[in-house]
Amino acid sequence: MSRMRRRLIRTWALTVAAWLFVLAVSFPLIWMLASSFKSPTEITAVPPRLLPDALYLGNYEALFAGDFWRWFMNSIIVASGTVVIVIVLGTLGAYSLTRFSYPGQKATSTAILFTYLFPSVLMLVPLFLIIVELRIMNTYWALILADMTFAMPFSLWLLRSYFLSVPLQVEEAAMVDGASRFACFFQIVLPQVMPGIISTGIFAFILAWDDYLFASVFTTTAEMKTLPVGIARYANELNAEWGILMAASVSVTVPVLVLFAFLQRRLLPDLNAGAVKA
Amino acid sequence: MPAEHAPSFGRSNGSELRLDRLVKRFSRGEPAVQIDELRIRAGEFVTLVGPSGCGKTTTMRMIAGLEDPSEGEIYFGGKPVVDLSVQRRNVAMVFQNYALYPHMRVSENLEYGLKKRGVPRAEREVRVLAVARMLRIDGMLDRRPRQLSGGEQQRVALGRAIIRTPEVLLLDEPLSNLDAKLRTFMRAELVKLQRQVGCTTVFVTHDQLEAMTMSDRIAVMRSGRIQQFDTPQDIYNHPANLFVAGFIGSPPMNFIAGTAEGGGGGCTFRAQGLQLHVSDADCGGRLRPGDGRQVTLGIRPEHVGLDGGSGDLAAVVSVVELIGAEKYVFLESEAGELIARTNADARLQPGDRLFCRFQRGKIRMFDSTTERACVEPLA
Repeated sequence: MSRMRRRLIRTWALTVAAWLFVLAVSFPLIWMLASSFKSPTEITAVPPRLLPDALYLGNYEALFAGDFWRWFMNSIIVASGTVVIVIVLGTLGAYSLTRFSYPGQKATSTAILFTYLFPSVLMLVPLFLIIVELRIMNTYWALILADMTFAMPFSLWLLRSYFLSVPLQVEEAAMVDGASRFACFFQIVLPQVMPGIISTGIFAFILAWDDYLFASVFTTTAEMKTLPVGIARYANELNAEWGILMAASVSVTVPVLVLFAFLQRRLLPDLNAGAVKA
Repeated sequence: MPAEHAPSFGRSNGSELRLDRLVKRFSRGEPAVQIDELRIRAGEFVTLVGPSGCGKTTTMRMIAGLEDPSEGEIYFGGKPVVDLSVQRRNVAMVFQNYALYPHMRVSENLEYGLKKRGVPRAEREVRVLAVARMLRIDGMLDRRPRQLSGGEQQRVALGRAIIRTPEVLLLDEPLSNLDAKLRTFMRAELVKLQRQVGCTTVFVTHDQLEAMTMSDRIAVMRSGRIQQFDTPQDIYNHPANLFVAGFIGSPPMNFIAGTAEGGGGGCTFRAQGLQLHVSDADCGGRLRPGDGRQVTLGIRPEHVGLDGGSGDLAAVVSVVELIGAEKYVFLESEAGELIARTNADARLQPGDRLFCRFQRGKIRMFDSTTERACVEPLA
């Protein structure tokens, strides 16, 4: 067998293996999407079938007729608020950790990462007490504060590594050019860490978007529920409305997919290539 | 200069730059920089040269305002500037790694400093074009730094510095990232550019060849202190101490440790295998060693003549290196190892026995204790 032929067979084998892997990973998503268009009897049919006989829209109609849009808006507000606060505080904090020297700087960096190691359940009681004390129980602020607390340590570390990758000399060159510290930060450094800011934003958004624990504890009324808490209503110990549950799951996943598709192009890792000669 | 390369963006008047009792301490102990006085004339090209860690970059950063001195003052044209922030000093700097703004196009990189100083858009455009033409980067104004070669990036960094016609231009080893051929070319380009722009220039390098070929004057630094500040020729011909003598020149100056006896018009230098009468004239009219002092004789490789019959010191050839137009001959003698520089035609083989003849008038003597050149009688 010629070398060329062996290489071709290997390439094909690898491609097939990769596709099989992708199929295995995405099967639950495909099943979710297919089930959301099945009637209740079709969903529980034995033997199960992947594709529905006819496109059944009853699950979506039932879902959208309920409180779905209210939960959706609540989730959007909480996730966006978390993203904004995490990015603003995270970039300023990471810049400070990488550019200024002050006593306890290293210890602060380590302590921040250490807090991320605590499971969120452990933070529940202290957060609850703080939220009650601040009188923000059952408000968006309670959820934003809770999600932010959990997203901030990792975001700071993520951003810190991006800030470290921006050469100090580039900032110094801007200062010699007449730029103030603020101008340096906004005009020189921020554009270079934009992929990091976007990654952090996505991380914070997904964390807040998927949060069930904090949202179920810190909201007490139906109109403050977020999507994960609201959707959970369709499945309990007595009954599970699988069709609506699958339709809701699809509706929750779509915004995240759209967000990823929109921002993927901006996640260029080599944005600051060419700043300095290696 | 071709007409199309004429700078129409302005010419800097340049300012006299003076460092006065400048000290920088990073922690307790010996200061990283300690300069009593360094006065650089307006429009002059001065190089700070020295080994790594000698304080040359720290000195430059203090001039730029990126580092605060612990003591002392810096004057631009007689005005003290230590209390002025980096943004308010009219300096420009080219960094070793160029430090271009990677997210901006070449044109935006060039005009950023002008923008920050409130120069109107129309004037910015004119200046950008003039500088770009001068540096031959006008065809790549829309590119980003990552799309440029090392040499092109360096030109952009230079353009960004000179476009503002600063009082003082600081160059921090800007040639060290270029390949050897481009470096040789850029050495001449840089000097030409400095003459055109006219700003007072401080160039930092550890490469003594760059210092020798580019500068009006050189400040040789060691351990934060200036060892000698003089023209390249004077530094090469009359090094102030053993460090300068050994640092400047490639291959380095030969040193032979010995003793000096006699005085008043000359002395007898004795080392193992070598006895030499050295008159004032033999070492440039500066010889004043005391009787019986430990001294070091210095002689540059090109001033060591090789003779098969007779000479000052018997030696054996150990290695012969052909460097294009000339040869470096490594010799072993009782007085130590020596290097001689001969023309490429010299027929020499390792193992050849011959004599070294030190060219009179080119011998230098240093006090072995103080390491200083024997300019005055030793106390």
